[in-house]
Amino acid sequence: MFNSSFACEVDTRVGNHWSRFNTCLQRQLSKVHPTLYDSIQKIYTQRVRFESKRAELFANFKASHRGNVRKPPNCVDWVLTLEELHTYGEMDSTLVIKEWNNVAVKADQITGTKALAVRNILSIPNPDAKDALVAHVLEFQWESCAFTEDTLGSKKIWVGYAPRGASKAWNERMKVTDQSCLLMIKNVHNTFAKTPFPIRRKVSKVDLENIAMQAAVVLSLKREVQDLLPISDMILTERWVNKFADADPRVVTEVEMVLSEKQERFAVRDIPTLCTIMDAHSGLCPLPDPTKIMIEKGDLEKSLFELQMKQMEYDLQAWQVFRHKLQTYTTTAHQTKMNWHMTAYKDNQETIKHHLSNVSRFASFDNVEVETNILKFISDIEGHFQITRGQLAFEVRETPATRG
Amino acid sequence: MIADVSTEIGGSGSTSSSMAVEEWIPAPDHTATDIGKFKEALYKDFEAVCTKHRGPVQFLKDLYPDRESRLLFLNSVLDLFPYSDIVMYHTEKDIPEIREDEKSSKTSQVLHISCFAWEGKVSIKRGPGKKLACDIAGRVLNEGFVTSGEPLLITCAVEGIQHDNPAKLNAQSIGYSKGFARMSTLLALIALMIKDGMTAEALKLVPRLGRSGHCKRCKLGAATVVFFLTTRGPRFQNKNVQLLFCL
Repeated sequence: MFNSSFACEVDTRVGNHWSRFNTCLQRQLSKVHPTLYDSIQKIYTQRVRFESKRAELFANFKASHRGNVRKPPNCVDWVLTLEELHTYGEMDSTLVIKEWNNVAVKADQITGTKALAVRNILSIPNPDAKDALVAHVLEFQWESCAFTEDTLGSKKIWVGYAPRGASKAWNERMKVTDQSCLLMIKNVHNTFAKTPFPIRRKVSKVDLENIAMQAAVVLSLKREVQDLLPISDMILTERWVNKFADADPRVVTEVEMVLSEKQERFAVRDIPTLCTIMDAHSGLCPLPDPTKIMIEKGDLEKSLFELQMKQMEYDLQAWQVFRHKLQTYTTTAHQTKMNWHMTAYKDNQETIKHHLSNVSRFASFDNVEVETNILKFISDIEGHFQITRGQLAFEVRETPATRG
Repeated sequence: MIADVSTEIGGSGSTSSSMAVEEWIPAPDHTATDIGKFKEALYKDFEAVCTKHRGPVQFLKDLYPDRESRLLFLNSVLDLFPYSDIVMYHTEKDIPEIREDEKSSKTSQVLHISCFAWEGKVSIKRGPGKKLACDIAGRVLNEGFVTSGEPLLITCAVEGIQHDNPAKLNAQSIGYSKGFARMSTLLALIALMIKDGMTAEALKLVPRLGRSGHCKRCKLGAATVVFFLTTRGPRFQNKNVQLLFCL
């Protein structure tokens, strides 16, 4: 009854076929893994009334310290939960932590470096940096990630820290910003991810502080390059900043080198990677001697002219050959045609002569005897060829009188 | 989305003609119903989705992003785990509250798996990451989802999917004071079982069908449709497609 109350809405869309499959699946699941099937059928719950969300959180965290699989909440858990509490109106995180410390046993209290780490992460102004940190911890788990409470508790890695001891320019370069903070986390994440699993180690506090300084310097140098040359942000980010974020060994080594020296007379061109980028965009690449260029240009033009002349000569020769061949062809064709006509004429003449000698007879006579002669001629033919008169065709022409 | 269930093979049904048949899946081996192989396959799949989605909660959110898909999941869960006649489920909307110090003295309520939510503000803590979820999944697959010793601490967190009867508990409405990691892992495992029902791997779970016939996987738009073809039993003499469902 209850089952069908939800199912009816779906059944109109999918029919009963889905149900039939799942029924089979269910039968099989109950057979294959009866323990799992039975345990899912009976889920025991209790609805506990808590005074507030804060009390609920404390109860949750207290329970998190028990069991094999459970882990006590780490500083990132605390940060995320405190931020979640903000949505329920619990805006004062310090007060929440203070109350937790009052109710929790000493080992679970948020004090010392852990408290510092929580406070530091909470105060990250760049949400991208916070997301990157959370994503790293989610991917590798707190126990096996690159960070520790000790490292995250250091104030030297977070926004606003400005180291002293070097020159003013270098101190300014090494000042941690929200963007450099994100860059540091990316660098640590990528370095950690690239390291093979068996030799992965958590980053030490000193190392992380150095990476924070390097990240700040990377971004400062990017700005300095842009002050000197109008190189686009995209190019510098792609070929300089992102390479540091990806833990490119060459870029990292170059930054480490300049940071170790911190020379007073440092110029951005001292870094080979930046120098290459700047040279490619400044137009200061070494050019050949202009006089030499002019000479080379004259030679080039001469060669070009000679080439064109050769090409024209070749074309002329080709044209002449073509004309000669065409003429020869025309003559040959005409001669052949004439020969053929001559042969045909001679053949025809021979044929006509032969024909006429066989089937015709020429006779000349005076007008007086014409009729007699004609009749005699016809009779001769009839007799010679054994034909009747109706089969004969003959013509009488009158020749000019001068002929006779 | 769904076609006629009794489409003849090679028949003139409009649905079958418009589908591009992807592959024939060979009849699964019934011996694959071995519990070890089942656990191994499911755990492997779970680990993969946790890597891809960063955790079971995100996996569930990605797999069932809207109410309609969650409704589909609910239907599958109700079919897969129907209300047992021998279990006294608490089905009323009003779940009795207890004080924190009464946890050991008061009896627990048995809730059905369909009541538990993952979407919305269901817990003050975030969902588990990959490692924790895999630890829990390994334990659940080995020992079952044991809550009798330590019940889940719940809250009525979200509206969920409304029941026809207003006095009854809504589906997917229960939140967590303690136990979100456990329950989200279990729900992700169930979602995988249902999802894998469409794959050759999990078809091993239905050897009764698979042993005597074949499956046919087709593409119908964005959906994957699986036909089960069987000649088993007197009803199946005509080689009709007996089952058809889609993702």
